[in-house]
Amino acid sequence: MITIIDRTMGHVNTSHAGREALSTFFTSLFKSGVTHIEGTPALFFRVFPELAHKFKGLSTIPSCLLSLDHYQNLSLNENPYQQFDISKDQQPDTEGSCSLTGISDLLATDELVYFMDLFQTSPFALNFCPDNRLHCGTALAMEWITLGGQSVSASFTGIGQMAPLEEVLMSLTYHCPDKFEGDLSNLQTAKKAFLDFSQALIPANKPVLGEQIFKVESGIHVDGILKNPAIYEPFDPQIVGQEREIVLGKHSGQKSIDHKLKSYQLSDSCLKRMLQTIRERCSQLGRNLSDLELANLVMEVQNDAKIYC
Amino acid sequence: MMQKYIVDTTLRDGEQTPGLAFTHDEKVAIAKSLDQMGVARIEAGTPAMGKEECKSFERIKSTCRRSKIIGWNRMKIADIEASINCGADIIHVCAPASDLLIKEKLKKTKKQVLDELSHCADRIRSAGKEFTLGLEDASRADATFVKTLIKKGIELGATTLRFSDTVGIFTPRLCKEAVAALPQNINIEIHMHNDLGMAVANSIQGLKSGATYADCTLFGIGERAGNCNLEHLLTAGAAHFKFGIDLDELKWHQSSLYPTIFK
Repeated sequence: MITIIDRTMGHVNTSHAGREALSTFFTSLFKSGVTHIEGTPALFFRVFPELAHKFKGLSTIPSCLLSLDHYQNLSLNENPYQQFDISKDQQPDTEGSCSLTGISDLLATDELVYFMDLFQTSPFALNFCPDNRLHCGTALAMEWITLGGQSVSASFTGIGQMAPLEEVLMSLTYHCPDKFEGDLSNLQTAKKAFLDFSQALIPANKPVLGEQIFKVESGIHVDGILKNPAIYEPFDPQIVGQEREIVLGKHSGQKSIDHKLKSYQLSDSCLKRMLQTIRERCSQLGRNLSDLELANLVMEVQNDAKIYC
Repeated sequence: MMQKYIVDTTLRDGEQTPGLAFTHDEKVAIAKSLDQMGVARIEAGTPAMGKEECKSFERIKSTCRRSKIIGWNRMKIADIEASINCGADIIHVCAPASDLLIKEKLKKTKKQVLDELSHCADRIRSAGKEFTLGLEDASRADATFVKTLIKKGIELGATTLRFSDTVGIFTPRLCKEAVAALPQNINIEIHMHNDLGMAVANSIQGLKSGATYADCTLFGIGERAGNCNLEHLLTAGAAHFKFGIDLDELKWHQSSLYPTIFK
């Protein structure tokens, strides 16, 4: 099983974050398959006061890893990983556990092979924390695992220019089901908690998390989705706690209209007229119609039909 | 540094983003910016959508000075005629490659697909237009059928082959293997989606493995999690490839187009 360290906490200001939001966030990450969460002992003691007593010996160290033990109880350990930034040209300390940072260029993956070789001969754990500055963080994490890497770091939404955690988890679910286990539907809960304490914005088309990613409008795609969703979906939206939705707009086809307006029981000619009108209006407006605008349009078309037919 | 080229599909795949729609003027403004910054090919729309789409397509064609204009088509003669009538420089035909698309969506046989492709190519040839072939859902398709389709495409005179990761499930490693296995005697174009957050990385790897063209959109808009983001691809590929596009100029154009695209 792959070790997945979440490093979100190093990149958000948690001083005003509510205990409940943080606790929900941590719990949902564990349910989603994260194995360790990095943070300060003070933070973990604040969120889970019961840990303060059990692990008080750790209170002075700068960084800890929170995990679940064999009995599903929270457990805290000193973070064993030394950070090694390859872009700063240090020599790696092979005597201890090491977290490799500073790699952002996918085409320079020879470095990955080099470090993999180096550490395969050493008994210490090697974690890889790809840099997302060149938008290849998730891909680098996946390359590392393909090369035989056992441990990666990431952050929720990629905050702090790391590989986006949710993308890494989904890629593992899709491509390495034998090395990873997690219920990614919990990512939606994690997202709500994250938005609550981080004041970050998550784009509507953000992979895995975005609220728009399972909406379909274009006639070609709707036609496929209605026959078999797998035709135009990479995975079932429910895997990541989302749902698909068919929306009407400039690119709609007749099948979308027939499907979406079923409840209005319009005649075939009215449905044809609706398609034409929706396309025209959306092109003129440069956007989609609201539910209210759509309902009005149905009324208009129905009235026209009564008068002229 | 290797010379590579950008095919921008903001106006076709990008506009298919649910909730987005561009007016005539907006489409022309976007195309003008793309033309000015040096995009090699602009996929300006799907003329088969009707009169309105054709009108903006024609205006784009007459406005752009440097970029070649692509008309996107399903494997249908009527679609292709619409593109030809709009004055497209390149007629792109999208052929279904995976069993899911052929059997479950189109309810056809592989033989029918190949036959229809021939008819389409004949029509394009008689109009004297450049023909490019797209393989939809190629990343989930049976490799043998992909080869058959490409062989057919080359015979029929296709100049470029678009390899599409339609639902965005590729990793760089899979992309490298797939692109390296494609024949050398046709230009390769890669079309990557961002569902797993790897569209940029896959495009980089595809270009490195032999592709000449990469499909992108402004701000990475497109179906679901979007297409390969042009700005991100230029940033990630800057050390390895020449695209003939200045990153600062792109950013300038993007900031002035932002209110047009995200209304």
